[in-house]
Order: sequence, then structure tokens, then C-alpha cells
Amino acid sequence: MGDDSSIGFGRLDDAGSAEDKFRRELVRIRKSASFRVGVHIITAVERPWRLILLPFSLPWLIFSIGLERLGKKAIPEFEQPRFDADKNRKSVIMFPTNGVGFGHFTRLLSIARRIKKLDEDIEVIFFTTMPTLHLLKREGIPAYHLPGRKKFNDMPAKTWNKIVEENIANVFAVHKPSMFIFDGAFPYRGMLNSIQGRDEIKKVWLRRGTFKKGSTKIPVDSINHFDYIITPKDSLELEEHDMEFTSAVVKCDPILYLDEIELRPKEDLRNRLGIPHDAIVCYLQLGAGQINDIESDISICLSELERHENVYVVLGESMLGSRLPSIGGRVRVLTDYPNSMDFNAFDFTIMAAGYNSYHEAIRFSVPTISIPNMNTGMDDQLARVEVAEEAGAMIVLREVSKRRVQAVIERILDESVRDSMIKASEKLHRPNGANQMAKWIIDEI
Amino acid sequence: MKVGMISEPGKLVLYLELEEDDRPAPTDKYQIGKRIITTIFPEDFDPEDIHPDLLGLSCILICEPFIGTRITLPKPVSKHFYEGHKKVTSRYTIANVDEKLKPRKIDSDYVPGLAFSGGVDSTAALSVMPHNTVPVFLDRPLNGRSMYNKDAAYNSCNEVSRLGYNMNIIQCDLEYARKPVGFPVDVANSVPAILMADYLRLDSIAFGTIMESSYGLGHKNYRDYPNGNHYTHLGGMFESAGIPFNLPVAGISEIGTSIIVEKSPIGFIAQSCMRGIWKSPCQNCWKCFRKLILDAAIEDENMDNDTITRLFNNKEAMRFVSGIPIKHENVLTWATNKLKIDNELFSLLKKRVRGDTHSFPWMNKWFPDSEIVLHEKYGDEIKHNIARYLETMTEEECEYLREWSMEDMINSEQTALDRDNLVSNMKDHIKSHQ
Repeated sequence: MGDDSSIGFGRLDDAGSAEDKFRRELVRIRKSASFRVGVHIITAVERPWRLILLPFSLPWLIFSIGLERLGKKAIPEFEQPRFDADKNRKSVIMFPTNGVGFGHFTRLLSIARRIKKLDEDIEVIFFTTMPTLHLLKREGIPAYHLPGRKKFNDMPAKTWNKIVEENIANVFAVHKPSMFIFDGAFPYRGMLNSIQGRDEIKKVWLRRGTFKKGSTKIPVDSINHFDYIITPKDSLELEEHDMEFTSAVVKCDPILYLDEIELRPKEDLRNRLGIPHDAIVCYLQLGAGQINDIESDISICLSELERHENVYVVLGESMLGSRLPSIGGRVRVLTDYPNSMDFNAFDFTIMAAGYNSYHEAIRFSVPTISIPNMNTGMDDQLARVEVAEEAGAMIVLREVSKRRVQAVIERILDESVRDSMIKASEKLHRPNGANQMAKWIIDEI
Repeated sequence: MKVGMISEPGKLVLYLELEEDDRPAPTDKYQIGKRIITTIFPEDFDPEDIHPDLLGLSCILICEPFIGTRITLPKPVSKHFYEGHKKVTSRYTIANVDEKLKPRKIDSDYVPGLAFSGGVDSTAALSVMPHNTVPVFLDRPLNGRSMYNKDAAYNSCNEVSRLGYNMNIIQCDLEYARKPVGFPVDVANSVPAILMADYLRLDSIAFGTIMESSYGLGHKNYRDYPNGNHYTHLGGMFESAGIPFNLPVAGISEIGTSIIVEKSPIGFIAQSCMRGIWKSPCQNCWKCFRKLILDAAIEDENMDNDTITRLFNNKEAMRFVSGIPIKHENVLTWATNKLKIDNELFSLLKKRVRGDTHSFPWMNKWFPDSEIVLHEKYGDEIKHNIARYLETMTEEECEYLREWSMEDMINSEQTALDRDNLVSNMKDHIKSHQ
């Protein structure tokens, strides 16, 4: 599959593409509630003995359609177009959605940039709802952008999903990919429709965590749209999936954007931000918009850090969030991607415990005071950092008070404490899953 | 005395076997109790790896009061430890020596240990110790009826751990080697830390020993601690075993440790009461009685009538205040002097402890002579940390301490009269509030 590099791009006005479009339209019509109810009634009229059962069978059909809409029941499969498997190109389409932060996007970009390095003949294309396309340009990765539904005023989900379906189908028609990788918590119906029946494309869902009955709202039939489920490991041992599906599961180590060798030298950031080389530098990233509230975690941390004269603070600002206010003094602001590029410049960090932040801090052995966000739904940040706490690699603040923050900052300012945390972090190091997955994808296409 | 051992990874059992000339009841106050002592370690710790000198020192701390003329240890000790022990011990000798065994080696990156209890004194010690201190809590398994509630201690240890310390909770029943239950030697609370010293890479062991216990403050007379039997004998043995003493709060009174805990960022982890639950002291024991008065004096807050009524409704405190001198009387003198409370019972207490005439303004300061009992490697850091919380006594104030004597007060008839007056009023108070 996809081993002939001479195969060119497809064309949107190809007969096959046009036919595909009509077929998809037909499938959409057949899947619609009005069509299915109508067919049910007509069939009953054609076979009068079924009329007797109609008072029972019709409500049951409507009830089933309702369950399908809620994702509790699989939608019946309809005849799908068949595509010519020999005409695939060495092309991978990656579809990261936009979550709270950069998680999905960064994971796929981490893999994409490694694929490009390992085999430059492979085309990697992003199709994404993330607005940060300039980060892809930097890596030489072309992208198609579709704003998320909520960016449009009151756009119905059905309409947005139709745009997704049409756009992905067009991308498939043009790029003839060998593999499609989705990274997101919830699979859009439009995306599922566009990949359904595309047996010539390997479909992969990159997703953290395990599928648990009752704990996820994803439609029951959605997993089987994928040939593979890739599950990056976390600090805790992964539990087994307890939902039934046919896709094969592939596990990998935590996926990180950078390898150690890519980190900038310690002096680089200090020179850029005017921080003395002998200062103790703390990287602080706890979410924006709360600095003016003196009771907020970030304000308490800032005021306690400020008490120590040799300490400089670098506030991490997200490209997606609102702009941090100017603070002055020994506080600097860093808005880069990824900010971990400058982890060599920091003596310690104070951060929440999102997947990327946690694994970057561990992989790059930065002593960390972690303040896990306890309101992140299924992402159990506390459980994640407790592993590092147990190993002595992180200090975990479950409750933020001036006194506790003062106590842990005083401890971490002690070089011997930081040294022991670095040693403990090193024991938790794992290979970068991005390298593992890049090799796997190359082998698969 | 013969001590044998059986071990498996994560567990050490010591067997005490009395010999003919041993002392099963060294005084009328206590006697030997349980003779099988069990310590539970982390599973990756193999007791066979314990240096014989550390093992020997631990056995001695468990058995010493009961030893007659010699002790046979589970493994022969080094000549270095044998000689060092002999130098500071005349009553008995160690029977088994391995001439070829090298003394324990301490690397430069080893860290300080602390025998930690979760109380005010050991928390104050942890507050002034280096940040890489490793606290070790001896967790006594509870048998039968006991007023000791471990809830506060566990929570305290948990908080220490959450501040990033390498907190170790080690179950050990050595307190049952004595009847009634207690440490055979006061520093035996460090046995788990001693046994794990190589595993935890400890270069010394600190204790929350305060000035009342070291220099005799609040006792009949001042004690020249560094030259006294406790420090030379026990300190000498620890030194010979390669795990020297470190006494960061030996120059600080109970008043000083309470001030440190009040001001230190980690002070919130301390709870002195061993009977109440976490953050809810029993308010019914002698420690709670003393702490309530001392905290009010430190925070410069007077007590309302309800609090005073509850304070004196304490049978155990009544028993303690009937002693002459009262245990830690100096603390009550200092505290009652600072408090201006218009209450008859309080005034009687203040009179009894001489708070109406004595202020002891030096008692909340650090005694600089105690520098000598700090571990050399950490001395400067500890002194620097103490200075964050306490002033240092002037030479004149040091002299007051060196001349400390309660003899006149103890022998005074007035003291007995004041005591009787206080106790009888307190008795009536308790009766009327039952």
C-alpha cells in the first residue's frame, strides 16, 4: 500500500470523486430518520401483514434512531463506495482537534516532525480545527484548517459535521492517503462518515486513557471505524479497555515534542530575557487570567517567590489563552512553542499536571512543584503526579496556602533538594513515544 | 545479654536472651517486657545489609538498662566501635568483635536524619535542619488499651511527606521491651533510623531534645550537658558507630520550639497532643494544658472565661501541678508572666509558678553554648535557621541559665502552700464542672 511514489495527487473533479460525493450523499439520505421511517411505513403497506405489527415496530424504530443519535446504539451500515487500494500515496493525514490546550495538536505534531526526518518522501498533511497553523509552517507541514463549530454563531452540529465530512473527503480525494490519524477525545460524526468504508486507508485513533463502559460519551460504534487505537502510556500503568471493539491496540511511551538534544542552552533564555546567569529561575505556569486575584494560586506563588531576592520568575503564557498582564520586577513572560524548549534555563518549575507538562518535566528532569488541577474531568492529574511524588521527583501541592507554598519554595530553593529531585526524575525517564510511533507509522505505510 | 536475629527482606526480628548476671528489673519503676522485637522495613531493604556496628548500636539502645556485665550482639562489631563503646561505657562490655570489619563509611553526599515524632519539638528541629533532612518516625504498633492515638502523628508524617521530604514511617515494637511501655533509653526512638542509615544514606541523626532535657532548664539545677553522662556515653556510642548525634534544639527551651513552630512555614504539621486526633487535640491532658497557656502567651492573646473554665477542668493537669517542681515549670512561669488574666484559678497558678514575680526574658532565646552539640557539617546552617526565628542569649543571659537552680523554690514552705491552694481550688472547679 502506498509504495509507489510516482502516484500523483487526485483531482476533485475526477469522475471517481464526483461519484464518491453522490454516494456519500446517498448514504446520508439513507441514514436520515425521515428516510428510514418512510421506508418502514412503505414496507408495511407493501406487505399488509406487517401493518398489524406497525403500532409496535414504528415506535421501536423511532426509539432506536434516538439511541443512535445519543451514541448508545450503533448506526446500521450502508453500502459504501469501494476505492482502489493500489492508488494510495505515501501520505498521512493527521486530524488533531482542539481541546483545552495543545495536547492533541502537539502529540500529532511530535510524530509528524519525526516522520519527516526519518523519511522525507512521506507527505504529512494536517487537517485541524486548531488555529496555530504557523507552528506547522515552521516544520514544513501543510495544513487544512476548519474552525471548530463553536467559532461559528449557533451553527447546528449537523451542518458543521457535513462540512467536516465534505472537507475530509476532498482531502482524501486529493492526497490519496495511506493513513488517517485522528487525535481527539470525541470523534465527530462527520469525520466518522468520511472514513467509513475507506478500507484502502489505515485509520488510526490516537487517544490517551482507556475506553471504559459508562465513563465515556463516545458513540458505541465509533471505535470500530478505526483499524488501530494508539494509547500513549502515562505515569500510572494503563488499565485494560473494558469496551468491546475490533480495532487493534498499540501502546507507546509518553509522546513528547522534543528530545533532550533539542533543548536550548541554559544561557540562551537568560540572555534573551535579561536574567543574570547566577539567578535561580522558576518557570511558573498555572493558567492565565488570575494574577490580579491575590487569593489565586498563581498570585500566592508569585508573592512567595518574590520574597527571595535571587529568584527570577518566568511566567509561561499560552498562545491560546488571554495575554498575561505585565508584572515587572523579576518576573518575565515567555510565549513560545513549546516552552519546554527552554527547560535547561530553569532551576525549577511550578506547574499544573497536564499530560504534556508532567512528562516534559520528568523527561527533562526539572525539579517541579506540581499543583494539579482537580477539575479536569477524566484527566486525573493528581493520580499522575502522585507517581512522581512517591519517587521523590516532584512536590505535590494538593491545597494551596501561603504557608504551604512558602514551605515548598524554601525547600526547592535548596540545591541539594533539587539535586535529589533530579536524580529521582532520572529514574522515571522513558523513551520518547513520538519516535516509536513515527517508526511504526512508516512501517505501516 | 544475648541478642539474636532472624531476618528476611523487609523484616528484622531481634531476640533478647537474658544471662545470669543481667538486670530484668533495673529499678522499681520498670522491668524488661517483650523479648522479641520486630521491625518492619520497606520490602527492598534487606536487614542482612545493615552494618554490624549500626545493628549493634540498635541492640544496645533496646537492651542497655537490662544488661549485666556483657552483651553478645547478633553480629560481631568492628574494633573501632568496640573501642569507642568501651571508652564511654564501664558497666558492661561487648562480647563479640570482628577485628577485620571496617567501620561504617560515610560519603560526602550523605544527608542528615531526624528521629521525628510529629510533635512540636521534632517539628522545630526539622524547621531548623537542612532541607534535605530525612525524617524517620518510629511507628509503635498498638496492643490492647492505649490512650495513644496515632491519627495526629500519621497526619503529621503525611504532611511532611507532602512537603517533599523523604519521610519514613517504620513500624517497630521496641517500646514493649520495657514494662511499662516506653523507650528503654530516651534516644532509642532513633533505632529505625540507625538500622536504615546506609539505605537512607544518613550521616547523622538529629533529635528534638530541648533545653529542658539537655541543660536541665526547669529541673532542679543546670546541667553541663556536653560534658554530662548522656552526651558523652550515648553520643560517644553513636559517634563510634558512624552515626553521630545532632541536637539542633538542645539550646532552645519548649518556649523557643513553640515559637519556631508558630513562625516556621512547616510549623503547621506539628501536634503535641498524642491522644486527640489530627487538628483536634484532646484538651484533657497535661500537654494540652501547657500548650494552651504557652500559645496564648506567644501569640499575646488573653483567654476568655470559657477557655479558662475548660483549661482548668483537667484532672491530669491537676495531678501534674501538684508536683514540686512541676514538669516544665519554667514554661508556665514564662507564659503566665506574659498573660494578664483576671481569674482566680489562673492567678493561683501564676503565683505557684512564680509568674507574678519572675519573667525569664531570656528563656525564649537560643543558648549559643549548645553550638557544640550540633553536627559540624550542618552547624552553620542550623544556626542561621535558628536566627530566623529566635534571638541569641547575651552572655549575661547565658550566665542566668548556667546558674539555673530551683532548689530555693523547691524547699520553700510558701511553694507548698501555693501548691495546696491551687490544687484544692482546681479540685473544686473540676467537681463543679462534672
